[in-house]
Amino acid sequence: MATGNKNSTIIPQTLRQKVWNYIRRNRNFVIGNVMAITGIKYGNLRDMLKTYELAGYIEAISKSKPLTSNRYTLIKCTGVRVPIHDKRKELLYDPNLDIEVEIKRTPSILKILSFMDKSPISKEEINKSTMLAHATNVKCYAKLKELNMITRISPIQKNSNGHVLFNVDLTEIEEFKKKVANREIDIKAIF
Amino acid sequence: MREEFIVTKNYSQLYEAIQSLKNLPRTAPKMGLGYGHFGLGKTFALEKLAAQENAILLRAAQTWSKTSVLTELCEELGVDTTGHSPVKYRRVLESLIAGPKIIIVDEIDALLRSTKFEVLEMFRDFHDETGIVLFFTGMEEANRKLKKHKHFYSRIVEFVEFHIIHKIDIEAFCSLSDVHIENEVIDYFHKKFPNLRQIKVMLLRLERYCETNDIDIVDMKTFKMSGAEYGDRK
Repeated sequence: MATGNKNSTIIPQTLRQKVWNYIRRNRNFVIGNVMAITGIKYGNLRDMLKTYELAGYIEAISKSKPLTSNRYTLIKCTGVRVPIHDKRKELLYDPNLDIEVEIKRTPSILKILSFMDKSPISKEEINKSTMLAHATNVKCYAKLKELNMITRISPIQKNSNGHVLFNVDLTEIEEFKKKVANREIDIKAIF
Repeated sequence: MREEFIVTKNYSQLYEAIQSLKNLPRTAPKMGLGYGHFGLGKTFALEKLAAQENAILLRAAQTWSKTSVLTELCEELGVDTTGHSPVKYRRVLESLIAGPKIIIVDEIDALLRSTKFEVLEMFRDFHDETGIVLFFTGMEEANRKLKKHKHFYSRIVEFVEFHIIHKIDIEAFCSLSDVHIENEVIDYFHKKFPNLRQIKVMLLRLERYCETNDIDIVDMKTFKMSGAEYGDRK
């Protein structure tokens, strides 16, 4: 009896497919376990999970240090094929449903600016809320300093936790945000 | 702590069993059974194996029926999941003949009741008709219970018994830690904690304690001081 294997296509067993297979089977998963089982590198996995989080496929249960102990849960398991992220188009293509989900990442610098709501403020205070990588923070603060949006107080002042405070030009920040929203400033071009 | 898979003795045994099943001729039975107590890393080892061998790994559940398993297999093989059971059965068969895949079924204990045995019989049919490698794992009693079904048991040619974690495995696991773990602590882990899951939690607590207190080497005194065993600092 011929059944005709409708839609029969061999699923390529890429590294990302292996990660997807693992998280489908273990809906509550820890980053470290995914790395140990599939051999994926931390940076690649972090990108993949971030995309799925933005698209509403997974949800963070706990985020703590070390980062490899972070726990997530799969809330939208659409099928066996791994959803693919198109970075250029900022889309997540789900071959299981044949749909595209728009992925809008907030640029790191805007995330930092959104937490600069008072002056003076310490970088540690902001970093705690943004949860960005150290290297990203360094890059963003250097750019903000260059754009004169933040300046170090002279002589140095520290808060009660011993963290160095700096002044924030709140008016300038609002202007900057407006220009970004009106596409007068291209953030990608700045970096 | 570095996140790496530790090739334990249990995993090596499992890996060798699968390789040996793969190398058997088409006509030979290719079923295997792994069994042992909980917390010995069976499921974690199977996950690794499934990722390495691109195998289909299924976790048996009390709610399984022939229809639900057929649907699950169709999904895993990327074929159409609609239609009656005989149609799905043929699709799975055709797919496995066209592209043989290892099938691993974990928690087989859920299928060892008389009312569920028909599901196992269906797996046997796939095995007989396609020549694929079929591997089951379960608790200690799985081996004894399967023995009762002679026609099924006679097809199992590889047995893997999972043993308590060896000291050498704990040593390898501790070597992934950011701090150096002294031998006396490893001995203590070996005596008191038979599974790596518990040890991992303690190592993470230890690392946090060592980072705060600027410690590089953990001996028994530091371990006790850290309170890592109980989850709070005494």
